[in-house]
Amino acid sequence: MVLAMLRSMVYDKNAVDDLFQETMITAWRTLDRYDEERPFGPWLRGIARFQTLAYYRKVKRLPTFDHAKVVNHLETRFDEIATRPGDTWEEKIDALDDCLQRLPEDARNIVVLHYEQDLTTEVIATRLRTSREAVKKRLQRARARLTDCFERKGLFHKLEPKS
Amino acid sequence: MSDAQDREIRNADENLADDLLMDAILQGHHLDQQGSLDARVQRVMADVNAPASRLGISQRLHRQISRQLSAHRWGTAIAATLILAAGLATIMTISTTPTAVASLDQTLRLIEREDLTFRIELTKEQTAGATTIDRRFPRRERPSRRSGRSAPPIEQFDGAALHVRGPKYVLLGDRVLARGLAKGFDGETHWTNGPSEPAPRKDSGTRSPLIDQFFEFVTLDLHELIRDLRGGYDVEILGLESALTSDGVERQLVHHRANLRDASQTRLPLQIDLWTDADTGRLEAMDCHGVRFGRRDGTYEISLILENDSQLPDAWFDRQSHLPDPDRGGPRRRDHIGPGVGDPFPPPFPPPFPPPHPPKKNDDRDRRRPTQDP
Repeated sequence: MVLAMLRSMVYDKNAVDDLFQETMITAWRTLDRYDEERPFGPWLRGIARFQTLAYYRKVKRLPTFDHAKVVNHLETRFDEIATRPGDTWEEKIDALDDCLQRLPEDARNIVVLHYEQDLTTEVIATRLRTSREAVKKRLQRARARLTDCFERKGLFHKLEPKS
Repeated sequence: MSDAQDREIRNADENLADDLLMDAILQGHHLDQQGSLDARVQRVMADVNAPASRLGISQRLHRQISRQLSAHRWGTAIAATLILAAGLATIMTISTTPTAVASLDQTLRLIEREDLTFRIELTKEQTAGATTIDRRFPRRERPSRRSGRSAPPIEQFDGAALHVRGPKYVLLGDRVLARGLAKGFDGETHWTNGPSEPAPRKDSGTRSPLIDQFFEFVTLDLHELIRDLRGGYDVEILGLESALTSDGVERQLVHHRANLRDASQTRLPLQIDLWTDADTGRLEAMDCHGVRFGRRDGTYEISLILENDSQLPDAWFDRQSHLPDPDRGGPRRRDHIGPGVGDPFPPPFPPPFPPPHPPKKNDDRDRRRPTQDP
């Protein structure tokens, strides 16, 4: 779950690995400050959040989005996932496979190309003879469909519709 | 700002957060399937329950951290670090032989003070033959250990270089597949650089096993871990051994042997041999026997062989100095930080081995060195 949170907040995969390690080491060293009466996940994610902010300060590059609001919503989502049955992250999000199967074929294909075959959007665009922006848009739509699927299956609480 | 505007912005942030989260979930879904539960990490974390007990932390909490660690390959990396650091640290701190403790304390102080570069050799135990010190001092008779040996991915790190300055370190892959892989600690941040060439993928479509195995490879973050790690080795000094360097200089080395007290703790090397310089206490070579990598069959011997003690540039421990290609961001500092324009950075080591004690400022070793018979 910590890893998923770091991946949500930091684009650079190498940096995610480093931040995960830093988070775990920090958690290990500060275990004596952890209040056992409180849930462990949010405490660990708090460390990850702090490490991420430190990372952005160090690289002197702020995220383009409103970091606090986005991270607050991420926290909400992780809390929702945490209440799911299962011990591991994979068990808690076991609905993902079913949701992937329910995607329309073109959406599923592009998800496979990008995430499973690890192709960049540029390569996919060349392969599908379309623009990179179109690929990114299709990926975004596929992710939105998966989020909807998670909401339908009760993993996520449904968002309020826009006014 | 009106309520409607506020709600719209809030929804935009929430939608963005959901999109980022789903992106992360999909990344993890395809990256983390292999080795999601590494029994070795569990064993290591179970062992480090001891210091936590002193802090009053429950077993449940440690299982949670353990689960977090084991869900990611970095967990394996940390575990490997803990294992070998524990191996060395504990024999330096918990010994049944006071003389051995004093000797190894001096070794530890030197590790913290000097820049040391080790060559790492990795050998399947079945093929292990000569000890590390035979390779450190090549005039000793030794059998060839590499002939006819295939090289599984983990063994691609045979020949890697480990640069150490106190808590800082840089581990650099050496062979073709591992070239460009670098992992280090600059004193503030642990960093990792990927390979300069795309590594081969497994049939499963997950990332290269080579990269994963790189992360579980040995690093010696001694300075930070020594305080927290305790184990159980019996250390003894086996005696003085003479060895000749390639240029004919005779050296006196102290041979220490550390045996694991509880052999059921298979996460630790069963036996560690160390050779330190009799005059200075500097670590010259180390063999860790019985090291396991994840669920792989068999055990490995990991050897560290001192290759150089020249001072490295401060920037050597920074991530930027080891970026494999220019488009990863930032200038390639290795191109202009070295000892001179056009010189490699750092300068290549003089083959095959440097003299045992290159002259240094304020070096009083020669005065302390006992007279040796030829």
